[in-house]
Amino acid sequence: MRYNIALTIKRSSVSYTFALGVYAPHWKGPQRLILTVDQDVVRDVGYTDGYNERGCAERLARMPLDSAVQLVARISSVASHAHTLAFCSALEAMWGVAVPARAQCLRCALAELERLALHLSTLAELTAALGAQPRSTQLSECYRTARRATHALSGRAILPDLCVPGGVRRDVPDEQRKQALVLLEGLQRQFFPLVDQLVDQPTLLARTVNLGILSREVAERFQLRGPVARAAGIAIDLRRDTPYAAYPQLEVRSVTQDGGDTHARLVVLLLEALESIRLTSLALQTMPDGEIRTLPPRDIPATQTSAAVESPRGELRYTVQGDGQRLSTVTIAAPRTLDRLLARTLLTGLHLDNVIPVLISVQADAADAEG
Amino acid sequence: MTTIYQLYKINTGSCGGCDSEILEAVATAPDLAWADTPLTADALLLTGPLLPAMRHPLQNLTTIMATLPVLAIGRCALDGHPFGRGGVRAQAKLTVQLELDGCPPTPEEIAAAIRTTLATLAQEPRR
Repeated sequence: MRYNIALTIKRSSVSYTFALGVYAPHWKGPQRLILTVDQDVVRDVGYTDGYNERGCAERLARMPLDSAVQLVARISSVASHAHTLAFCSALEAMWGVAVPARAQCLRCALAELERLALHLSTLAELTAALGAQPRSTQLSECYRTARRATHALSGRAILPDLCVPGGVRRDVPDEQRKQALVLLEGLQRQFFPLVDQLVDQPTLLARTVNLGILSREVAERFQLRGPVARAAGIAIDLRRDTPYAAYPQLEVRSVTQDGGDTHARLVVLLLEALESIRLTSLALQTMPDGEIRTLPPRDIPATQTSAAVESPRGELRYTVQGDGQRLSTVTIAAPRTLDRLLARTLLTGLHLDNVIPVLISVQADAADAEG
Repeated sequence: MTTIYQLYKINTGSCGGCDSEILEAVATAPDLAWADTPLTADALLLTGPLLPAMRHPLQNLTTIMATLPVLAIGRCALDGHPFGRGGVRAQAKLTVQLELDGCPPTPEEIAAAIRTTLATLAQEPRR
Protein backbone atom coordinates (compact mmCIF):
# COMPACT_ATOMS: atom_id res chain seq x y z
CA MET A 1 0.00 0.00 0.00
CA ARG A 2 1.42 3.35 -0.98
CA TYR A 3 0.10 5.82 1.57
CA ASN A 4 3.21 7.85 1.81
CA ILE A 5 5.02 9.84 -0.76
CA ALA A 6 8.19 9.29 1.30
CA LEU A 7 8.99 12.95 1.21
CA THR A 8 11.98 13.59 3.42
CA ILE A 9 12.11 17.32 3.94
CA LYS A 10 14.76 17.52 6.59
CA ARG A 11 17.04 14.77 7.72
CA SER A 12 19.76 14.69 10.31
CA SER A 13 21.29 11.51 11.67
CA VAL A 14 18.22 10.42 13.65
CA SER A 15 15.44 12.93 13.08
CA TYR A 16 13.40 13.52 9.95
CA THR A 17 9.94 14.52 8.82
CA PHE A 18 7.61 12.28 6.91
CA ALA A 19 4.55 13.37 4.98
CA LEU A 20 1.34 11.40 4.79
CA GLY A 21 -1.70 12.18 2.82
CA VAL A 22 -3.60 14.18 0.35
CA TYR A 23 -1.31 13.92 -2.69
CA ALA A 24 -0.68 10.16 -2.29
CA PRO A 25 -2.65 7.71 -4.45
CA HIS A 26 -4.02 5.54 -1.63
CA TRP A 27 -4.88 8.33 0.78
CA LYS A 28 -8.60 9.04 0.64
CA GLY A 29 -8.96 11.57 3.43
CA PRO A 30 -9.04 15.35 3.29
CA GLN A 31 -6.04 15.88 5.56
CA ARG A 32 -2.27 15.98 5.33
CA LEU A 33 -0.06 14.86 8.21
CA ILE A 34 3.60 15.75 8.63
CA LEU A 35 5.16 13.38 11.15
CA THR A 36 8.33 14.40 12.94
CA VAL A 37 10.18 11.16 13.54
CA ASP A 38 13.09 10.68 15.90
CA GLN A 39 14.81 7.28 16.01
CA ASP A 40 11.82 5.81 14.17
CA VAL A 41 9.37 7.04 16.81
CA VAL A 42 6.77 9.73 16.02
CA ARG A 43 7.52 12.77 18.20
CA ASP A 44 5.13 15.32 16.73
CA VAL A 45 2.31 15.50 14.23
CA GLY A 46 1.73 18.50 11.97
CA TYR A 47 -1.70 18.71 10.45
CA THR A 48 -3.29 20.53 7.53
CA ASP A 49 -6.85 20.14 6.31
CA GLY A 50 -9.28 22.00 4.08
CA TYR A 51 -8.46 20.02 0.95
CA ASN A 52 -12.08 19.05 0.29
CA GLU A 53 -14.04 22.13 1.30
CA ARG A 54 -16.80 21.96 -1.28
CA GLY A 55 -19.47 23.87 0.65
CA CYS A 56 -22.08 21.16 -0.01
CA ALA A 57 -24.35 22.09 2.94
CA GLU A 58 -24.61 25.72 1.72
CA ARG A 59 -25.26 24.61 -1.86
CA LEU A 60 -28.02 22.20 -0.79
CA ALA A 61 -30.26 25.02 0.39
CA ARG A 62 -30.10 26.71 -3.03
CA MET A 63 -30.82 23.64 -5.15
CA PRO A 64 -33.99 21.96 -6.43
CA LEU A 65 -34.75 18.92 -4.30
CA ASP A 66 -33.86 16.33 -6.99
CA SER A 67 -30.44 17.89 -7.51
CA ALA A 68 -29.98 18.19 -3.73
CA VAL A 69 -30.54 14.43 -3.30
CA GLN A 70 -28.00 13.79 -6.06
CA LEU A 71 -25.43 16.03 -4.36
CA VAL A 72 -26.03 14.50 -0.93
CA ALA A 73 -25.33 11.06 -2.41
CA ARG A 74 -21.94 12.33 -3.58
CA ILE A 75 -20.63 13.91 -0.40
CA SER A 76 -18.86 10.70 0.53
CA SER A 77 -18.64 7.51 -1.49
CA VAL A 78 -18.21 5.33 1.61
CA ALA A 79 -21.39 6.70 3.22
CA SER A 80 -23.37 7.78 0.17
CA HIS A 81 -26.51 5.89 1.14
CA ALA A 82 -26.20 6.95 4.79
CA HIS A 83 -26.09 10.61 3.72
CA THR A 84 -29.16 10.29 1.48
CA LEU A 85 -31.01 8.27 4.12
CA ALA A 86 -30.39 10.91 6.80
CA PHE A 87 -31.30 13.77 4.44
CA CYS A 88 -34.48 12.06 3.20
CA SER A 89 -35.48 11.06 6.76
CA ALA A 90 -35.17 14.69 7.91
CA LEU A 91 -37.34 15.85 4.99
CA GLU A 92 -39.91 13.08 5.63
CA ALA A 93 -40.12 14.11 9.29
CA MET A 94 -40.78 17.67 8.12
CA TRP A 95 -43.60 16.61 5.81
CA GLY A 96 -44.92 13.88 8.14
CA VAL A 97 -44.68 11.38 5.28
CA ALA A 98 -44.73 7.66 6.12
CA VAL A 99 -42.31 5.55 4.08
CA PRO A 100 -43.73 2.20 2.83
CA ALA A 101 -42.44 -0.92 4.61
CA ARG A 102 -40.88 -2.37 1.44
CA ALA A 103 -38.84 0.80 0.90
CA GLN A 104 -37.75 0.77 4.57
CA CYS A 105 -36.41 -2.79 4.16
CA LEU A 106 -34.56 -1.85 0.96
CA ARG A 107 -33.08 1.19 2.66
CA CYS A 108 -31.81 -0.96 5.55
CA ALA A 109 -30.40 -3.60 3.19
CA LEU A 110 -28.42 -0.95 1.29
CA ALA A 111 -27.27 0.73 4.50
CA GLU A 112 -25.90 -2.57 5.78
CA LEU A 113 -24.23 -3.37 2.44
CA GLU A 114 -22.54 0.02 2.55
CA ARG A 115 -21.28 -0.67 6.10
CA LEU A 116 -20.17 -4.14 5.05
CA ALA A 117 -18.22 -2.82 2.04
CA LEU A 118 -16.39 -0.16 4.08
CA HIS A 119 -15.57 -2.56 6.92
CA LEU A 120 -14.32 -5.25 4.52
CA SER A 121 -12.13 -2.85 2.53
CA THR A 122 -10.75 -1.46 5.82
CA LEU A 123 -10.02 -4.98 7.06
CA ALA A 124 -8.32 -5.89 3.77
CA GLU A 125 -6.10 -2.79 4.01
CA LEU A 126 -5.41 -3.37 7.70
CA THR A 127 -4.35 -7.00 7.29
CA ALA A 128 -2.16 -6.03 4.32
CA ALA A 129 -0.51 -3.30 6.40
CA LEU A 130 0.11 -5.86 9.16
CA GLY A 131 1.80 -8.25 6.73
CA ALA A 132 -1.03 -10.81 6.50
CA GLN A 133 -1.21 -10.65 2.70
CA PRO A 134 -3.08 -13.96 2.10
CA ARG A 135 -5.82 -12.88 4.53
CA SER A 136 -5.94 -9.46 2.88
CA THR A 137 -6.48 -11.10 -0.52
CA GLN A 138 -9.34 -13.17 0.91
CA LEU A 139 -10.90 -10.08 2.49
CA SER A 140 -10.59 -8.20 -0.81
CA GLU A 141 -12.51 -11.03 -2.45
CA CYS A 142 -15.21 -10.67 0.23
CA TYR A 143 -15.29 -6.92 -0.47
CA ARG A 144 -15.85 -7.63 -4.18
CA THR A 145 -18.74 -9.96 -3.32
CA ALA A 146 -20.32 -7.17 -1.23
CA ARG A 147 -19.94 -4.84 -4.24
CA ARG A 148 -21.65 -7.41 -6.46
CA ALA A 149 -24.54 -7.69 -3.99
CA THR A 150 -24.90 -3.88 -3.98
CA HIS A 151 -24.86 -3.94 -7.77
CA ALA A 152 -27.57 -6.63 -7.83
CA LEU A 153 -29.85 -4.46 -5.66
CA SER A 154 -29.16 -0.99 -7.00
CA GLY A 155 -27.54 -1.44 -10.40
CA ARG A 156 -24.31 0.14 -9.15
CA ALA A 157 -21.41 -1.26 -7.12
CA ILE A 158 -20.96 2.01 -5.19
CA LEU A 159 -23.06 5.19 -4.77
CA PRO A 160 -26.32 3.19 -4.94
CA ASP A 161 -28.40 6.34 -5.53
CA LEU A 162 -31.66 4.56 -4.67
CA CYS A 163 -32.97 6.51 -1.68
CA VAL A 164 -35.31 9.45 -2.43
CA PRO A 165 -37.69 11.46 -0.23
CA GLY A 166 -40.71 9.25 0.53
CA GLY A 167 -39.08 5.89 -0.29
CA VAL A 168 -36.80 4.47 -2.95
CA ARG A 169 -36.32 5.48 -6.58
CA ARG A 170 -37.13 2.09 -8.11
CA ASP A 171 -38.17 -1.37 -6.98
CA VAL A 172 -35.87 -4.37 -6.87
CA PRO A 173 -37.21 -7.23 -9.01
CA ASP A 174 -37.47 -10.59 -7.27
CA GLU A 175 -34.73 -12.06 -9.47
CA GLN A 176 -32.24 -9.41 -8.32
CA ARG A 177 -33.29 -9.83 -4.69
CA LYS A 178 -32.63 -13.58 -4.93
CA GLN A 179 -29.31 -12.95 -6.66
CA ALA A 180 -28.25 -10.67 -3.81
CA LEU A 181 -29.32 -13.28 -1.25
CA VAL A 182 -27.27 -15.99 -3.00
CA LEU A 183 -24.24 -13.69 -3.03
CA LEU A 184 -24.70 -12.94 0.68
CA GLU A 185 -25.00 -16.64 1.51
CA GLY A 186 -21.72 -17.28 -0.32
CA LEU A 187 -20.14 -14.31 1.43
CA GLN A 188 -21.21 -15.65 4.82
CA ARG A 189 -19.55 -19.01 4.04
CA GLN A 190 -16.42 -17.25 2.78
CA PHE A 191 -16.15 -14.72 5.61
CA PHE A 192 -17.11 -16.68 8.75
CA PRO A 193 -13.97 -18.89 8.81
CA LEU A 194 -11.86 -15.78 8.22
CA VAL A 195 -13.34 -14.08 11.29
CA ASP A 196 -12.52 -17.17 13.32
CA GLN A 197 -8.93 -17.18 12.09
CA LEU A 198 -8.30 -13.45 12.40
CA VAL A 199 -9.67 -12.83 15.90
CA ASP A 200 -6.96 -14.79 17.71
CA GLN A 201 -4.21 -15.22 15.17
CA PRO A 202 -0.97 -14.95 17.22
CA THR A 203 0.94 -12.78 14.71
CA LEU A 204 -1.95 -10.32 14.45
CA LEU A 205 -2.38 -10.27 18.23
CA ALA A 206 1.32 -9.47 18.62
CA ARG A 207 1.04 -6.56 16.17
CA THR A 208 -2.28 -5.09 17.33
CA VAL A 209 -2.87 -5.58 21.07
CA ASN A 210 -2.10 -2.40 23.09
CA LEU A 211 -1.34 -0.56 19.86
CA GLY A 212 -2.89 2.86 19.16
CA ILE A 213 -5.03 2.85 22.31
CA LEU A 214 -8.01 5.19 22.47
CA SER A 215 -9.37 4.69 25.96
CA ARG A 216 -13.04 5.08 26.81
CA GLU A 217 -12.29 8.40 28.54
CA VAL A 218 -10.47 9.78 25.51
CA ALA A 219 -13.18 8.50 23.14
CA GLU A 220 -15.82 10.20 25.30
CA ARG A 221 -13.84 13.43 25.50
CA PHE A 222 -13.44 13.49 21.70
CA GLN A 223 -17.12 12.56 21.31
CA LEU A 224 -16.20 9.68 19.04
CA ARG A 225 -18.97 7.53 17.63
CA GLY A 226 -19.29 4.45 15.48
CA PRO A 227 -16.95 1.44 15.42
CA VAL A 228 -14.01 3.35 16.92
CA ALA A 229 -16.11 4.31 19.97
CA ARG A 230 -17.64 0.84 20.26
CA ALA A 231 -14.11 -0.62 20.29
CA ALA A 232 -13.45 1.61 23.33
CA GLY A 233 -16.49 0.28 25.21
CA ILE A 234 -18.97 3.04 24.30
CA ALA A 235 -22.13 1.11 23.48
CA ILE A 236 -23.81 3.70 21.27
CA ASP A 237 -25.47 2.42 18.10
CA LEU A 238 -28.44 4.35 16.72
CA ARG A 239 -29.72 1.25 14.91
CA ARG A 240 -30.37 -0.29 18.32
CA ASP A 241 -30.80 2.76 20.59
CA THR A 242 -33.27 4.75 18.45
CA PRO A 243 -34.16 2.35 15.63
CA TYR A 244 -35.26 3.92 12.35
CA ALA A 245 -36.39 2.57 8.94
CA ALA A 246 -36.83 -1.23 9.27
CA TYR A 247 -34.34 -1.63 12.13
CA PRO A 248 -37.05 -2.14 14.81
CA GLN A 249 -37.97 -5.46 13.11
CA LEU A 250 -34.37 -6.46 12.39
CA GLU A 251 -33.16 -6.37 16.02
CA VAL A 252 -29.57 -5.25 15.64
CA ARG A 253 -26.97 -6.98 17.80
CA SER A 254 -24.52 -4.19 18.51
CA VAL A 255 -20.86 -5.10 18.95
CA THR A 256 -18.61 -3.57 21.62
CA GLN A 257 -15.09 -4.27 22.88
CA ASP A 258 -13.26 -2.81 25.87
CA GLY A 259 -9.65 -2.68 24.73
CA GLY A 260 -9.74 0.54 22.69
CA ASP A 261 -6.64 -0.66 20.82
CA THR A 262 -6.11 -1.68 17.20
CA HIS A 263 -7.06 -5.28 18.01
CA ALA A 264 -10.36 -4.19 19.56
CA ARG A 265 -11.11 -2.13 16.45
CA LEU A 266 -10.22 -5.10 14.23
CA VAL A 267 -12.60 -7.34 16.18
CA VAL A 268 -15.41 -4.76 16.08
CA LEU A 269 -15.04 -4.36 12.29
CA LEU A 270 -15.03 -8.15 11.79
CA LEU A 271 -18.10 -8.77 13.95
CA GLU A 272 -20.00 -5.77 12.60
CA ALA A 273 -19.33 -6.97 9.05
CA LEU A 274 -20.72 -10.37 10.01
CA GLU A 275 -23.77 -8.73 11.57
CA SER A 276 -24.28 -6.61 8.44
CA ILE A 277 -24.42 -9.76 6.30
CA ARG A 278 -27.12 -11.14 8.64
CA LEU A 279 -29.10 -7.90 8.68
CA THR A 280 -28.99 -7.46 4.89
CA SER A 281 -30.18 -11.04 4.32
CA LEU A 282 -32.91 -10.63 6.93
CA ALA A 283 -34.12 -7.34 5.43
CA LEU A 284 -34.27 -8.88 1.95
CA GLN A 285 -35.99 -12.06 3.18
CA THR A 286 -38.64 -10.25 5.22
CA MET A 287 -39.26 -7.46 2.70
CA PRO A 288 -43.02 -7.25 2.13
CA ASP A 289 -44.63 -6.65 -1.26
CA GLY A 290 -46.25 -3.30 -1.90
CA GLU A 291 -45.54 0.33 -2.64
CA ILE A 292 -41.98 1.65 -2.71
CA ARG A 293 -42.65 5.37 -2.41
CA THR A 294 -45.10 7.84 -0.91
CA LEU A 295 -44.97 10.95 -3.05
CA PRO A 296 -44.09 13.92 -0.82
CA PRO A 297 -45.68 17.38 -1.22
CA ARG A 298 -43.84 19.89 -3.44
CA ASP A 299 -43.53 22.69 -0.88
CA ILE A 300 -41.27 22.53 2.14
CA PRO A 301 -42.96 23.78 5.34
CA ALA A 302 -41.52 26.61 7.40
CA THR A 303 -40.20 24.42 10.16
CA GLN A 304 -37.02 22.70 11.27
CA THR A 305 -36.50 18.95 11.60
CA SER A 306 -33.59 16.68 12.18
CA ALA A 307 -32.78 13.01 11.56
CA ALA A 308 -29.80 10.86 12.45
CA VAL A 309 -28.62 7.52 11.10
CA GLU A 310 -25.81 5.17 12.05
CA SER A 311 -23.49 5.62 9.09
CA PRO A 312 -20.60 3.15 8.62
CA ARG A 313 -18.38 5.53 10.65
CA GLY A 314 -20.92 6.58 13.29
CA GLU A 315 -23.75 8.99 13.89
CA LEU A 316 -24.61 11.19 10.92
CA ARG A 317 -27.22 13.89 11.47
CA TYR A 318 -29.00 16.17 9.01
CA THR A 319 -30.94 19.19 10.21
CA VAL A 320 -33.11 20.86 7.59
CA GLN A 321 -35.02 24.12 7.78
CA GLY A 322 -37.73 25.16 5.32
CA ASP A 323 -39.13 28.63 4.52
CA GLY A 324 -42.57 27.50 3.35
CA GLN A 325 -41.51 26.78 -0.23
CA ARG A 326 -37.96 25.52 -0.32
CA LEU A 327 -35.06 24.57 1.92
CA SER A 328 -33.47 27.55 3.62
CA THR A 329 -30.76 25.85 5.69
CA VAL A 330 -29.18 22.41 5.78
CA THR A 331 -26.73 21.43 8.51
CA ILE A 332 -24.70 18.23 8.38
CA ALA A 333 -23.09 16.77 11.50
CA ALA A 334 -20.78 14.02 10.22
CA PRO A 335 -18.80 11.59 12.39
CA ARG A 336 -15.57 13.07 13.70
CA THR A 337 -12.81 12.61 11.20
CA LEU A 338 -9.09 12.41 11.91
CA ASP A 339 -8.40 15.95 13.10
CA ARG A 340 -5.33 17.53 14.64
CA LEU A 341 -6.07 16.49 18.25
CA LEU A 342 -7.05 12.94 17.41
CA ALA A 343 -4.05 12.49 15.11
CA ARG A 344 -1.67 13.72 17.84
CA THR A 345 -3.28 11.52 20.50
CA LEU A 346 -3.13 8.45 18.33
CA LEU A 347 0.24 8.82 16.68
CA THR A 348 2.60 10.55 19.12
CA GLY A 349 4.98 7.97 20.59
CA LEU A 350 4.19 5.31 17.99
CA HIS A 351 6.89 3.44 16.12
CA LEU A 352 6.81 4.50 12.47
CA ASP A 353 5.98 0.92 11.37
CA ASN A 354 2.73 1.09 13.34
CA VAL A 355 1.44 4.41 12.01
CA ILE A 356 -0.32 3.04 8.92
CA PRO A 357 -2.10 0.12 10.68
CA VAL A 358 -3.35 2.47 13.42
CA LEU A 359 -4.60 5.05 10.90
CA ILE A 360 -6.37 2.37 8.88
CA SER A 361 -7.97 0.88 12.02
CA VAL A 362 -9.69 4.19 12.84
CA GLN A 363 -10.92 4.42 9.23
CA ALA A 364 -9.10 7.73 9.09
CA ASP A 365 -8.81 7.74 5.36
CA ALA A 366 -12.54 7.82 4.72
CA ALA A 367 -13.48 11.22 3.27
CA ASP A 368 -16.77 11.25 5.14
CA ALA A 369 -16.44 14.76 6.48
CA GLU A 370 -18.71 17.21 4.76
CA GLY A 371 -16.72 19.86 3.10
CA MET B 1 5.51 -8.60 -23.92
CA THR B 2 2.65 -6.82 -22.11
CA THR B 3 3.21 -3.16 -21.37
CA ILE B 4 2.61 -2.26 -17.72
CA TYR B 5 1.35 1.27 -17.26
CA GLN B 6 2.56 3.02 -14.10
CA LEU B 7 -0.03 5.42 -12.72
CA TYR B 8 -0.09 8.21 -10.18
CA LYS B 9 -3.38 9.63 -8.89
CA ILE B 10 -4.36 12.91 -7.28
CA ASN B 11 -7.72 13.46 -5.62
CA THR B 12 -8.67 17.13 -5.89
CA GLY B 13 -11.81 16.95 -3.70
CA SER B 14 -13.90 14.05 -5.01
CA CYS B 15 -16.34 11.99 -2.94
CA GLY B 16 -13.91 9.08 -3.24
CA GLY B 17 -16.09 7.08 -5.64
CA CYS B 18 -13.82 7.41 -8.68
CA ASP B 19 -10.81 6.81 -6.43
CA SER B 20 -12.31 3.52 -5.21
CA GLU B 21 -13.05 2.46 -8.76
CA ILE B 22 -9.51 3.37 -9.89
CA LEU B 23 -8.05 1.37 -6.98
CA GLU B 24 -10.26 -1.54 -8.01
CA ALA B 25 -9.19 -1.18 -11.67
CA VAL B 26 -5.50 -1.24 -10.73
CA ALA B 27 -6.04 -4.15 -8.29
CA THR B 28 -7.72 -6.29 -10.94
CA ALA B 29 -5.95 -5.32 -14.19
CA PRO B 30 -2.55 -7.02 -14.61
CA ASP B 31 -1.22 -4.29 -16.91
CA LEU B 32 -1.90 -1.38 -14.52
CA ALA B 33 0.29 -0.57 -11.53
CA TRP B 34 0.97 2.27 -9.13
CA ALA B 35 3.99 4.46 -9.61
CA ASP B 36 5.87 5.44 -6.45
CA THR B 37 6.10 9.07 -7.50
CA PRO B 38 4.81 11.19 -10.39
CA LEU B 39 8.39 11.16 -11.72
CA THR B 40 8.17 7.47 -12.57
CA ALA B 41 4.56 7.53 -13.78
CA ASP B 42 3.29 7.01 -17.31
CA ALA B 43 0.15 9.03 -16.56
CA LEU B 44 -1.40 11.23 -13.91
CA LEU B 45 -4.99 10.36 -13.02
CA LEU B 46 -7.08 13.25 -11.78
CA THR B 47 -10.26 12.88 -9.71
CA GLY B 48 -12.44 15.54 -8.07
CA PRO B 49 -13.59 19.02 -9.08
CA LEU B 50 -10.18 20.71 -8.73
CA LEU B 51 -10.90 22.61 -5.54
CA PRO B 52 -8.91 25.81 -4.97
CA ALA B 53 -6.65 24.18 -2.35
CA MET B 54 -5.52 21.59 -4.90
CA ARG B 55 -5.08 23.79 -7.97
CA HIS B 56 -1.69 25.17 -6.97
CA PRO B 57 -0.03 21.79 -6.26
CA LEU B 58 -1.48 20.41 -9.48
CA GLN B 59 -0.29 23.41 -11.46
CA ASN B 60 3.21 22.98 -10.01
CA LEU B 61 3.25 19.32 -10.91
CA THR B 62 2.02 19.79 -14.46
CA THR B 63 4.51 22.62 -14.99
CA ILE B 64 7.43 20.53 -13.79
CA MET B 65 6.27 17.44 -15.67
CA ALA B 66 4.86 19.01 -18.80
CA THR B 67 5.02 15.79 -20.83
CA LEU B 68 3.17 13.65 -18.28
CA PRO B 69 -0.24 12.74 -19.74
CA VAL B 70 -3.13 13.90 -17.54
CA LEU B 71 -6.25 11.74 -17.51
CA ALA B 72 -9.37 13.24 -15.90
CA ILE B 73 -11.55 10.48 -14.44
CA GLY B 74 -15.18 11.03 -13.48
CA ARG B 75 -17.78 13.70 -14.06
CA CYS B 76 -16.65 16.15 -11.38
CA ALA B 77 -13.08 16.08 -12.71
CA LEU B 78 -14.46 17.22 -16.07
CA ASP B 79 -16.76 20.10 -15.13
CA GLY B 80 -17.23 20.05 -11.36
CA HIS B 81 -20.73 18.55 -11.40
CA PRO B 82 -22.44 18.18 -8.91
CA PHE B 83 -20.17 20.33 -6.73
CA GLY B 84 -20.53 23.47 -8.86
CA ARG B 85 -18.37 24.88 -11.61
CA GLY B 86 -14.90 23.39 -11.67
CA GLY B 87 -12.93 20.51 -13.11
CA VAL B 88 -10.39 20.57 -15.92
CA ARG B 89 -12.74 22.38 -18.32
CA ALA B 90 -12.55 25.46 -16.10
CA GLN B 91 -8.73 25.44 -16.26
CA ALA B 92 -7.71 26.97 -19.58
CA LYS B 93 -4.01 26.29 -19.03
CA LEU B 94 -4.41 22.61 -18.24
CA THR B 95 -4.26 20.17 -21.14
CA VAL B 96 -5.72 16.73 -20.57
CA GLN B 97 -5.33 13.68 -22.77
CA LEU B 98 -8.49 11.91 -21.56
CA GLU B 99 -11.86 13.04 -20.23
CA LEU B 100 -13.69 9.97 -18.94
CA ASP B 101 -17.27 10.73 -17.95
CA GLY B 102 -19.28 8.74 -15.37
CA CYS B 103 -20.21 9.16 -11.74
CA PRO B 104 -18.25 7.04 -11.18
CA PRO B 105 -17.05 5.16 -14.28
CA THR B 106 -16.69 1.41 -13.67
CA PRO B 107 -13.25 -0.18 -13.10
CA GLU B 108 -13.52 -1.87 -16.52
CA GLU B 109 -14.24 1.45 -18.25
CA ILE B 110 -11.35 3.11 -16.42
CA ALA B 111 -8.86 0.34 -17.28
CA ALA B 112 -9.93 0.30 -20.94
CA ALA B 113 -9.76 4.11 -21.27
CA ILE B 114 -6.28 4.26 -19.70
CA ARG B 115 -4.97 1.51 -21.99
CA THR B 116 -6.41 3.04 -25.15
CA THR B 117 -5.21 6.56 -24.35
CA LEU B 118 -1.69 5.56 -23.35
CA ALA B 119 -1.34 3.17 -26.30
CA THR B 120 -2.42 5.94 -28.69
CA LEU B 121 -0.03 8.43 -27.10
CA ALA B 122 2.83 5.92 -27.36
CA GLN B 123 2.30 5.71 -31.13
CA GLU B 124 2.41 9.48 -31.56
CA PRO B 125 5.78 11.15 -32.24
CA ARG B 126 7.44 12.42 -29.06
CA ARG B 127 6.51 15.95 -28.12
